[in-house]
Amino acid sequence: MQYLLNGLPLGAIYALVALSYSLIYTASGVLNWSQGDMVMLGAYLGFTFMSLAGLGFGPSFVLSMLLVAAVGVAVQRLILRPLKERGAPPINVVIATLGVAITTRNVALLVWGPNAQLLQSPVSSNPIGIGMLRITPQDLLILAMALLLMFALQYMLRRTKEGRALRAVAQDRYAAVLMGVDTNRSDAVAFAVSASLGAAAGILVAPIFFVTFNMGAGIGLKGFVAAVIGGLGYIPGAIGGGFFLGLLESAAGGQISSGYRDVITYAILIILLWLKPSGLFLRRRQQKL
Amino acid sequence: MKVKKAAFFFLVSVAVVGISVFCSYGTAMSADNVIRIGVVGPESGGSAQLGQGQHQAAQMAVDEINSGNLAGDWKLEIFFEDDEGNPTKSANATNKLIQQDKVHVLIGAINSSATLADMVITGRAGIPQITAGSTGSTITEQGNRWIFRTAVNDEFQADALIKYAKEDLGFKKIATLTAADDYGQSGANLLAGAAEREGLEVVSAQTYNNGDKDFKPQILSIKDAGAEGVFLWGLYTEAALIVRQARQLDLNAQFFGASGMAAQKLIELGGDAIQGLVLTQSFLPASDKAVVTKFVNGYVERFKDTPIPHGAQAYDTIYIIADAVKRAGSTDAEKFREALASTSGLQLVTGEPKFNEKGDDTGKYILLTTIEGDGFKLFKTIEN
Repeated sequence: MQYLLNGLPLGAIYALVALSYSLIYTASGVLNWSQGDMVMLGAYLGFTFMSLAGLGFGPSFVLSMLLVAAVGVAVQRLILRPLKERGAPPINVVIATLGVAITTRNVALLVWGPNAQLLQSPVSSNPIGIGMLRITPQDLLILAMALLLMFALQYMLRRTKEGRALRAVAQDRYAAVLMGVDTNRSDAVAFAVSASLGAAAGILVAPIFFVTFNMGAGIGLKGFVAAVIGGLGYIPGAIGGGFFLGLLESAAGGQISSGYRDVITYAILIILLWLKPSGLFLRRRQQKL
Repeated sequence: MKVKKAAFFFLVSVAVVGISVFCSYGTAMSADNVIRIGVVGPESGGSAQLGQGQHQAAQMAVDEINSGNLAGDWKLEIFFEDDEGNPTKSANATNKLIQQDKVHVLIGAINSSATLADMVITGRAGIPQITAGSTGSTITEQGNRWIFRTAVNDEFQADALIKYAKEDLGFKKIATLTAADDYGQSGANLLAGAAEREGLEVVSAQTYNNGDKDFKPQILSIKDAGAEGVFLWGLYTEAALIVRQARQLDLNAQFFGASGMAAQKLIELGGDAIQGLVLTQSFLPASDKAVVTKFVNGYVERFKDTPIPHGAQAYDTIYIIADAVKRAGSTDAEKFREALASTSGLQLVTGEPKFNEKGDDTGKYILLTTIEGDGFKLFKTIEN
């Protein structure tokens, strides 16, 4: 039971990152490998606003989400859009996002140095006991903020003009263009929203995992895997995949062997994908926002 | 016939001149009574701080000895090479020091894998090598007679920690949580061995990969096993995360660590949860020993920085070399090695050096320290 409880906050973080992968993938057809480093960037910006500028957790949270969203748009405008316009093959676009990831990581290393940094949590990390179970206010904060962001995303997709445009483009890009949807604009929105989701995940996880320049690689990969488990491009699937991965990791590490946690987790994943090639929650390959 | 005679005469004279030049070169070198010391360490790259600390402290010791004529009629000459912590570069640097600078003794390296690579070269050349920075226990188990160590063997640290847990704290059940790399696994084995000798039960032996962030599964296993003490063997980032997550899961055990994680950053990242962690070190700048304060004050004045343990050990190593060459009265490799091996009676910064047959310094002080506030506090010194 305690293992499951430990997996929940981790799962929420993976779910946020999985969402950011899925959103970009469906809305603009790009597999964006720099998502993990948006997590790192969000965490570092949050750390900088809080520790150096002395802002509170709330303002830092919002500010770094906005700034990282701007970085996401910049990546789309300056790198991906020109590539698309020049008719680059999809694999080249994917490699370009990998380039963005490595560049971001090394710039972070130059700016913030190789040492891990500590981002102070606004709430206590001392445990609250419920019977034999232990959960910390920080874990609850992660869960609450992640759920809030997920609902906000749903609202945005269903109720706003930008969200409807995204869904239209996801359904049929060509038809959407004919209907007068500006796809450049919708791509930019997808990148901005995805990047800010990543940044939110980064700040939420920073008080428990510290901030390091290479944190994006691990979290990014896990988030991507979660997105694939849920069916890449399927929004509820990304959320389910995130929580599933978090719980699986926690249980595999605790019940079987801690040193082989990643081996066990990924072996189960391979078997799972073999049994259900289109992900846990989809019957057949389909994409939906 | 005449031509032949002339040619013979010419050859002989060339040979005579050659030999006399060679001899005078040789005598010029030894008449000055100079011992040349090579130092290899990571002065750039990930462990640059350690290599630079070694460099500065060694240079300081050489200057003190030369200006104070502390090595009798011997002068010390020192050569530095940077290996970036890389075994291949380290072996190349060692080769250069031996071939080009003709050093009589090598101090190096700091990263254990680099030291092992250097040992192949010095062993082949037959010159003594002293590592002032590598703690890996395998180094002195190679059967290499040329290697000496002035760093604290991890084995002694593990023994000291386990003894303390048993004798002073009365623990019976312990757990280990170690990094899944050379350093961590050698530590895990040493801890298990020491626990067995002392009659402590290791109820849970967990590992983690460097770079892991979530240690809760391991911590829960340890909690379920009912360990009274948890021994960590790894680097500071992971150690800080572990103690934080242990507190979140209400694991009320005493935590222990070794010198590999002793850094200011450990205290900063660990926050409240790291308070009270017990770890072994070989050197603390704050001390009431005169020899330590003299070293620390001199170092701070010259380099505007606090010396690190690797520096203190390199500083001591230079004094050990000076003492050995004075007693050997020669830089002949065999005689010098004998003198090093019989080192005794010196009172240095990190102990009273005395080498066992494997080359380990058994006279090192092992400092048991605990984290209190934002610093390490010494509470027990183990002098062998």
